[in-house]
Amino acid sequence: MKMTHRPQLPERDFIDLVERVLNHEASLDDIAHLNAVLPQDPSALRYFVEMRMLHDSLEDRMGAASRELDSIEGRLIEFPVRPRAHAVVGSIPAKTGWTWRRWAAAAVVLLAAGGAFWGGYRLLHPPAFEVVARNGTGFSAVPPQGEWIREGQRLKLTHGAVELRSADGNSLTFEGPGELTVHNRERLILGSGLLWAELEGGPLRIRVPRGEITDLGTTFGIDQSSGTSTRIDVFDGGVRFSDSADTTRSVEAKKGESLISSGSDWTPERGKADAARYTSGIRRPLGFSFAADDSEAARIRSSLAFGARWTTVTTPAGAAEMHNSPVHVAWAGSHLFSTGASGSPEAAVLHTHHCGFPWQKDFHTRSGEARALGLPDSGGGIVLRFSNLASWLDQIGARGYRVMLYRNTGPGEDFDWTPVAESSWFQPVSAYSEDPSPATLLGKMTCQPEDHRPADFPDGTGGKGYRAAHGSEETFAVDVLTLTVPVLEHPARSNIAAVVLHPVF
Amino acid sequence: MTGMNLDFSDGLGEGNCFHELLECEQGFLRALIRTIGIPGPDVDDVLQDANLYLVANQSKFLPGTHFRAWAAQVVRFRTLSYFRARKRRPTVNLSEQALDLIAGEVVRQFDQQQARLDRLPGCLEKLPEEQRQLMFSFYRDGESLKKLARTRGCSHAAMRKTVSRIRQWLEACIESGIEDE
Repeated sequence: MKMTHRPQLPERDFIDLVERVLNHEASLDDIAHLNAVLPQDPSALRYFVEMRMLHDSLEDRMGAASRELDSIEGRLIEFPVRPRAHAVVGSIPAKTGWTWRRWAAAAVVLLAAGGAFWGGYRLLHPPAFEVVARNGTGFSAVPPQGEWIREGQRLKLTHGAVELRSADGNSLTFEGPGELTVHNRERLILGSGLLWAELEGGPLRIRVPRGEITDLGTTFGIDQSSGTSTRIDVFDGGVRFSDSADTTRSVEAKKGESLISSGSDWTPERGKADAARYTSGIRRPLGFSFAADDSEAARIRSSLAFGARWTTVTTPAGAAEMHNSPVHVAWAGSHLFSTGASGSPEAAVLHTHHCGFPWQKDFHTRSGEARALGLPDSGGGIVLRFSNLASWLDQIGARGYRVMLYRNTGPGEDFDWTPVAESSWFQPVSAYSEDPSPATLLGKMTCQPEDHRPADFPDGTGGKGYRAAHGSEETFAVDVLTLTVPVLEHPARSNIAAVVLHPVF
Repeated sequence: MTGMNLDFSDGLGEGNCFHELLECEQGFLRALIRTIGIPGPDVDDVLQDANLYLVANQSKFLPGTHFRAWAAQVVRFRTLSYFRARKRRPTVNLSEQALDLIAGEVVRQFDQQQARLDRLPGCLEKLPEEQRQLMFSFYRDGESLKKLARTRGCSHAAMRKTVSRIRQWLEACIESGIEDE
């Protein structure tokens, strides 16, 4: 690493003295010397202040200044703000401790002294964003649900993620490790970490080390996990990205685009938006899709097809953790098959589907795989088991979930559909609770004629057969949900292309 | 209170109302409080104290004059109150003259320093992993150099030199902008 040394460094002895001060090892003689030098040597004074500010910044960045508050720098920072026009709904965070009481008392005295400040400010910072969901391996490092992040507060996450929501409908998901300062409801400073924004309320500006992002009515993500680059991914609307060093320089990105600014040249490179790198809303529906190959899997994951964040798999049997959630899924069926349109991410979700042929015939190893996964060996058809759903519901504050199924019949070129009742085109899907075991039937999800879609659904790029989207009428809340599809029985096809779990609040 | 010899005339503009100025200067005030030597856990207390004082005395501020310099004087005064209340001097026992000079220098340097410190994350990433971990142990875990030396099997002097060199390198890095290379 090469570097250019700055001019006008003080004497070596003084540099060593400053180092001792910063290392908490300065002697009384050292301090006397410091007191003598600072008034006489402007370069020494300048150097001392620079090093002191670097030292403080290192403490802040590495957490020493707020060790006792791992998640939030929770002390009130009280300074005047203009009264907001909106009403903030929800709970107001309670503050405890002598500091809070002391300043609360001071506030009462000041206000009672004539209410001189009321026209210009409220003593307390107004709440800006409520924590509506959180995600992480342990919750100690993230603020609890219902907590309000006030204006001026800084949110530090060592891991995990929190979803925040403002009273006017803006939604933010901040993922650590990182640091986010809520200047106010319209202005944020993302020092590091990942931020996902879905803005249905007022305008928002977000400052990052390399510039400032202004929303133009949008859904987007900011990846500031690297200190040397800033990445912006736009999924709806657009954003403007301005250079922090030259505010006259800015670029705009629209839906489907990404901007990456790195290196010495600020000018961002354009690319494709990628949702997979973000926790795109903790409360977002969870999607599970079969994919033909890694390329198709990545295309689905990088999208928000059907409004879900996706977990994709490419094998006929296996187990996986659902992306950015505590939910575990295991599955087994006969084989994967791809047909019909796949131009859009939504079409790609439906393109590859799991088939439910008899396992002992052409796919004789499947029974063993299912048993190894702890799944029932039904001898055919398809079985999927979602577990740890109660933790997911707790994490997002939901009371239950509904199931949506996406299905695909395959080519159907040797298939005469007309004599068959449309409700018989797909085998029904049974939902069981295995919480507690043994399994209890919750209900059957039957595909109705109005649920059918053409093979080119949804992007009109051709194909044969039929697609369908149907789901549960009722809301489930069981911890372990098992879905089964009976083995193919002509003409009813046995398949599942994707499952989406929609939280119900 | 000794004077700070600050120029109050290069103001932020008469159009800015008081609470906007105060809101904008929170980062500066916090940096000033820390640079003067208030320990991290007490910084917010002193900042609140200063904010309340500034609000209560806002009529003394002349619109169009240098808000930052005026606020810095208040902060400096409040920090002395803090030290007196706790019957202790600043962490490094700085003289009042030195404190005045430091406060004035922070007023002058703050914007430039913030721009330099924005490069710090990139510079930290450039550090070898072992050195970065050492800085984490020192700054995040608050371990003394003696303890660090003991756990890492080197002399206290060697550890002091290592930490100083890393800090010097970071200072040179944020100065030269090499984190962008």
